[in-house]
Amino acid sequence: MTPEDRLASFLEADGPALAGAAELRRRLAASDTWQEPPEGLGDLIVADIQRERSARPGIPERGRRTGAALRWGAAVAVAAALVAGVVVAAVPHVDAQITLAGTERAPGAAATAALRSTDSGVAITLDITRLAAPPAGFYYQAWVTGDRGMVAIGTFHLRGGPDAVELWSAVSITDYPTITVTLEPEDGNPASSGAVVLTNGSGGG
Amino acid sequence: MLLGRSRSPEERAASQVELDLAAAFRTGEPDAVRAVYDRYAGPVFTVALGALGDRELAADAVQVTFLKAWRAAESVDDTRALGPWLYTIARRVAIDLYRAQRRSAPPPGAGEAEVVALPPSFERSWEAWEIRTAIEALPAEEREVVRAQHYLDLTHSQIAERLGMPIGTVKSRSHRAHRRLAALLRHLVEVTP
Repeated sequence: MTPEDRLASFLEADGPALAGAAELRRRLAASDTWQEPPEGLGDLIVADIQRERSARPGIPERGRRTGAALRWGAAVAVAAALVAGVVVAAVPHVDAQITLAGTERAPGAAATAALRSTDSGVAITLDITRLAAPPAGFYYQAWVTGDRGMVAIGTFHLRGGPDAVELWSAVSITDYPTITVTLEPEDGNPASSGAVVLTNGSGGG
Repeated sequence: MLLGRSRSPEERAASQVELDLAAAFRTGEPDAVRAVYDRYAGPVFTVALGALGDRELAADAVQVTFLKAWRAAESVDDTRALGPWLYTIARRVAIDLYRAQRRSAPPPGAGEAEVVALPPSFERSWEAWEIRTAIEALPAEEREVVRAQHYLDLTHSQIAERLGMPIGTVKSRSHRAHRRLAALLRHLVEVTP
């Protein structure tokens, strides 16, 4: 009888005792071994990765232009044209949409930012899903970031549940192409905490 | 004696199937991500659940594991086997979640700055991964018999009755399944000739 035969017999429980494999048999009977992940988790993960994938062109990778990057560039260009007051025929009322993904601080959270040009700036409607309300003493703050720095575009709390939040940017999305949401303490400090929960860029906070 | 250390993830040879799957995963195409999820979500969930003891936390660990894996996939050696690499990420994620939970709700008497010790379940997580992976590799009809036999603790007769099949079929499926498991798990066990 080969060692493999002995192990097979032992695992099937009709062979001679094989003390060395007792742990394997214990694990074959353990609940953890047979539990399945929650239904729908796979769909959620596929969607999360697609969101990040579509947002990846926002990462400043010089010289790399994928198809998705070109789509991203086109969206930003449309937004920039409308910020500058250029009327483009056949451009829908929502000028561009940008997808944000949850960071490790908020895995599973996601948002879509719909950009709309107005005479006073860019109205950004952030439609947020699966982002929990912040703890007491904290709030969320949205920012646009570019080479020139970081500009705050509004604060919110989501304590009424998932919501579409209205934000405003007075600066060009071309110059500040990364949109982030951070968790901020109510400490009077106007600087970002750096605790990013949603972003279309590479910054995980 | 279990020999989990004798065959580390780095030492295991990568199968061509795994390499192909890893290459597809790197693209992030939905079908490729789904294929990797279907193959490894069970083992990742088993490792996380065994370590964390909570289904919701374990589900979070699965989600974070796959996201981290995808984010890191481009920078990983493309000759490295996908499964053991996912295992190392899953284990790390489970450890981080475990420590975060313990820090947010420390047991009475524990100091805030105290290092959170890991439970013994983390030390055996590689065996848990390998066993779940081996079970996932079984044909569905054999897996069903193994589950009934070990997890539900049913006899061959009871399994035959439950599954509505002749007892001879149950016995032959059980025999084939355990032969396959022995071949897949042989490296974990020291069997003297």
